[in-house]
Amino acid sequence: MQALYARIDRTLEEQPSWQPPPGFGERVGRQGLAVRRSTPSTVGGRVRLEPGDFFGPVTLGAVTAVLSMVVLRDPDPLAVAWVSAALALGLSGWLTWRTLRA
Amino acid sequence: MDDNEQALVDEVLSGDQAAAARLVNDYARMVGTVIWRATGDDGVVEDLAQETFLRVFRALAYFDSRGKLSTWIYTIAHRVAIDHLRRCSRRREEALPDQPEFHGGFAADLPTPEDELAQEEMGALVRREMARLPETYRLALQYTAMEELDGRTVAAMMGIPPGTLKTHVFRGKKMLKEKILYAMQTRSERTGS
Repeated sequence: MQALYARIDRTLEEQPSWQPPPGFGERVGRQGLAVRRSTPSTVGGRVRLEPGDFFGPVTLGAVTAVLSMVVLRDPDPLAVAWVSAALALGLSGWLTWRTLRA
Repeated sequence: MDDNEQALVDEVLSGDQAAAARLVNDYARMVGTVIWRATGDDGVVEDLAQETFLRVFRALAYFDSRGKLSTWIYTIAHRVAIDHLRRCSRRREEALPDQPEFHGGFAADLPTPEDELAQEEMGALVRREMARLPETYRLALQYTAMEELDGRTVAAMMGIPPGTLKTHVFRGKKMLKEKILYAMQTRSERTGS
């Protein structure tokens, strides 16, 4: 039995190691950096936002404020409809962009 | 994580391409070997090793520097291999021939393995029966046989306590031994009849 155990151990230990092909490190390193730049990191399945990611919502908020002021000065159902449409479009666009990046 | 590893991580995070290549080169051999041992398929190792490193780069900024970088990378390699095995599990089950049930209780009557089979045959038998072990036992045996990996690293990779790993190794070896003895007995019965 000891001989069998020794043979099992020897077979397990004798298995070869993998050798990366030439240029593997450079190629994968380059791809890894590109992936790091283009994909936001996720923590617990949620996208972790970086400072630059707030540009979209901040712009959207500013546009909303300006449009709201225009509407409040001259209440017009058509203007309210346009503002609502623009807000909905902007918000859904930003959410879609975030989801695609994740 | 030691200072050299921290410096390497910092350089990669700053976008240094040479550092990124160095990170991959430092760990590629072990990552590929872990994947090879886990999947048993050298045809998929390069792709899965690449996938491992892409996951490493994505998550590197959030790596907990209190741990060892190597253990963290090998854990990702193990998970990539497991994901691959799960994806291929149906195909794998279809490819493997049905194995007979082992009922045990005859080991003492058998001749010694060295007498029974030539060395190459024995190695092939061990490898074949190893592939048929339950995944947890097989991986515990495969990883602990790698001299570069200590027990704590393997336990961390597999997400189990070190004591559980020892149990898996013990049970895996016992099961493997029984399967081999059964295969040998079947063979000798065939030869005798």
